[in-house]
Amino acid sequence: MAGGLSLYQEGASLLHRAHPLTKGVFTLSVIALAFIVPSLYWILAIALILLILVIVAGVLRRLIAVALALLLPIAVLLLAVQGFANPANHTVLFAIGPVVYYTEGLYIAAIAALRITCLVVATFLFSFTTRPADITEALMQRGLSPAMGYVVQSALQIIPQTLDMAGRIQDAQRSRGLETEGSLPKRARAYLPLMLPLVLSSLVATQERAMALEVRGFGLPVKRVRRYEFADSAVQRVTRWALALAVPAAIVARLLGWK
Amino acid sequence: MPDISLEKVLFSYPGGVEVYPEPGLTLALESGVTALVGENGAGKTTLTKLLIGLLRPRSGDINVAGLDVSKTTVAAMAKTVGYTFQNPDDQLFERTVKAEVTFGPRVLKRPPADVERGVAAAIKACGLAGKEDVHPHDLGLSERKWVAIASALASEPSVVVLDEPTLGQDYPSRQRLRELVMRLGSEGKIVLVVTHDMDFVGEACPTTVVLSHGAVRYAGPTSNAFGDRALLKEAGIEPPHVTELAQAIGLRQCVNEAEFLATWRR
Repeated sequence: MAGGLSLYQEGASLLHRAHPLTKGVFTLSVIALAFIVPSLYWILAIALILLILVIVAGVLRRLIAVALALLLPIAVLLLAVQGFANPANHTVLFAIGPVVYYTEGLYIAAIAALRITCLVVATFLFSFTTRPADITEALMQRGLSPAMGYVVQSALQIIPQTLDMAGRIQDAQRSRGLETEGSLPKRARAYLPLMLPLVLSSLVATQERAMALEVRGFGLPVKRVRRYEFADSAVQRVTRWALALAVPAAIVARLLGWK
Repeated sequence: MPDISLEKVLFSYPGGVEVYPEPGLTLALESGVTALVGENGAGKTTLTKLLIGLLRPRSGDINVAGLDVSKTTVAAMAKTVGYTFQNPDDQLFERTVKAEVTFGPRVLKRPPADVERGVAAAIKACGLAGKEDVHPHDLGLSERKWVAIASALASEPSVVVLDEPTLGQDYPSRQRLRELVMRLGSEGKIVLVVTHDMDFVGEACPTTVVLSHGAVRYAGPTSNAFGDRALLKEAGIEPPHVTELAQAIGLRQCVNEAEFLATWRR
């Protein structure tokens, strides 16, 4: 259970090997761009790039499952509402009896649905190919304080750890006769005696973790060296800058009348 | 009619391998003290957790003192089985020793007189008199283990499961544990002791079950188990020192000091 709340999937693809910062910048820029670019074709181009990267990373199968569960209902809803009821509607696409579906609504809905798709796919692509620990490690190498890095990292781990602890306390209480199975009120009542020991042992665990960190020199005011560096390259550096600059450039272009 | 029976029990942890190989674990235990020994990962703790229902088998039947474990909640099993975890910190959650020991009989809604009697007897038997108001986490590991044992005994269960009770115990503590275990056995309770401490097995457990790679390799009198070199080697067990000493100087088989001295004097 100590794996944390991570979606990371082991792999050796280009995306897995890329510098965490490159992936982070790519994800944020692509999401921003998907919402900035003006027309359906631009968004389709971004979606196509994402699709190619998903295939390269070897996470297509997993992503389809997520997409179906998350995106399909949103897309269906958007297409229905916009096509039938958008105020800009005037070109009839088809009609079912008295109910008319319009082209303008379809276009608007397609843009909105594709933008959300890009957002979701980019986020999952990042999560599937990047180890959470690597993100904080990369940020620390860029000057994020180790204390902050630890806070971020432990936040990712605290939920599974607490669940684990709660399970242990409940096992102890069940094995002494506290009924935790059966009807809902019975199970609800069983949570009360769990709370206090859970909070107390979380505090004890925090204290022990702090001591464990200190005896390993976490708080020492010394210059740190890195056990390993993430492989970086000129290409990745250029990509990062290009992506980061593309966002303000696109905004400026839109303001100047890019349609 | 055995008091505890397991019939072709199959179990695996999520994503893990089978703990007990086909056709499953079959074992019968009667009243008295039984030691459960075997190498690390042999499936000893898993077995004890199956007995109280903390783990549920995929198939097979488990009966404990007339109860079908599969049809009984863990909490209902607790009326019959007093269970101590290997790690006392997995078990202790109250703020004082007294509250901890009282938790079991209290939630089992035993009559106040029985609660009083069970708690007092458990605290006394476990050498915790005078420490009733201490926070369990302020005690040392050995004493926390005693609090865990006391809280399992306070409901006066007819089956007692002790997982590694000798761990970290000094000599007087071991003596007390030995007396306690033997007394519970003579009262007709079923006592199951999971341990790696063979000296303790020789002293306090007339019956031994040897588990190796999830299979029962031996179940019977302790002295026979310690006489079987091949069995001990397979299960990664070192016999009691006194057994090795007796063997080395050519005395007949003995498993504890008392037997050794009796043989020696003869």
